[in-house]
Amino acid sequence: MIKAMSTLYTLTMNTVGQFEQAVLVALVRLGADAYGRAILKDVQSRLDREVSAGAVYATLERLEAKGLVSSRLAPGTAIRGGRARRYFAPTAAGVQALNDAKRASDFLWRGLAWPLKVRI
Amino acid sequence: MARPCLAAEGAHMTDDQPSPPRLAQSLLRTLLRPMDTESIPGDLLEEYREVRLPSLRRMRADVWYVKHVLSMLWRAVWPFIVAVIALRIFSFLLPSGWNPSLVPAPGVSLLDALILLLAGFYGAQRTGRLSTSIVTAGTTSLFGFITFLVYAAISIPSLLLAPLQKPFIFVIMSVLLGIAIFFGIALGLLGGTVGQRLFRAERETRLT
Repeated sequence: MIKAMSTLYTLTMNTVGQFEQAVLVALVRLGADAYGRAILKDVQSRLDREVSAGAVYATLERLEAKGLVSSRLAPGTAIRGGRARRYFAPTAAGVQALNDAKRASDFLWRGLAWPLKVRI
Repeated sequence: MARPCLAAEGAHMTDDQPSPPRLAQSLLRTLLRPMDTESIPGDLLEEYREVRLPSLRRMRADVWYVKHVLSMLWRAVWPFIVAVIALRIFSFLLPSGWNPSLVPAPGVSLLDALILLLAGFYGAQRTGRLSTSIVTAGTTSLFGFITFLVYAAISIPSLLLAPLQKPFIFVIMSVLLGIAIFFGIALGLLGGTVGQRLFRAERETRLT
């Protein structure tokens, strides 16, 4: 029991929040095409709700500050008025954090049949 | 390192396509870190021109753009607005005089001043620009004034009807709002000056 709690504690201490996970997963899914607008669209479709640009950019900034994401600039297109695009990619630490988050979630659900049945 | 080259490339491109409201574009640029001033406005402009403008009317596309710019503003000011709301709630619970007013007008108390200083500091420390301090502290001050009105209306409900009975009260309220915003901007600039110095010092440290 103590071992299980200790494992869960270790796994959850370095994890990322749900929205951060959604952004990181979007980066993995989009690969080389992961720039701000594409990430916003991917997160919106994955979470199935309207997401503000402010929320996504603030999350990317936070993940970059944590060292979980890196970015690079690339030339812009005419439709953007020539403004540069910033492409994002998860770092090794970011991929590790995502794996830890998945493992923590799976560990939490271990032994339970999903979907849960409501007992009245 | 690629930034100057990319910026120069962008400047040579012709841009005669429809654009979102200029005020919203300026506000967005004010709120962004130097490293984001091209990429984030570019992302929003791309979506605006490629998707929103063809599918929505011009006005609705503009509303979409402004909504996202305001979401960026909210990200920059929300901790200070929460602090101002907490201050008003404490004003309900604690006896009067615990938070002295610096100027005889609402929303300009000692703790309001501290919050506005921090808002200005945070804005400039993030972007290195005093204009960001003005926006963050001014917006916080505006919310501070609104929360004061809500606080006053809850404390004395008859105040809600007073402006309807004596319309001149609107003029007085406008003057008080002007004082609150001026106070906010002045303190924001003060905090921003410190924040800007810190931003420059951090940048120099990174370069060396």
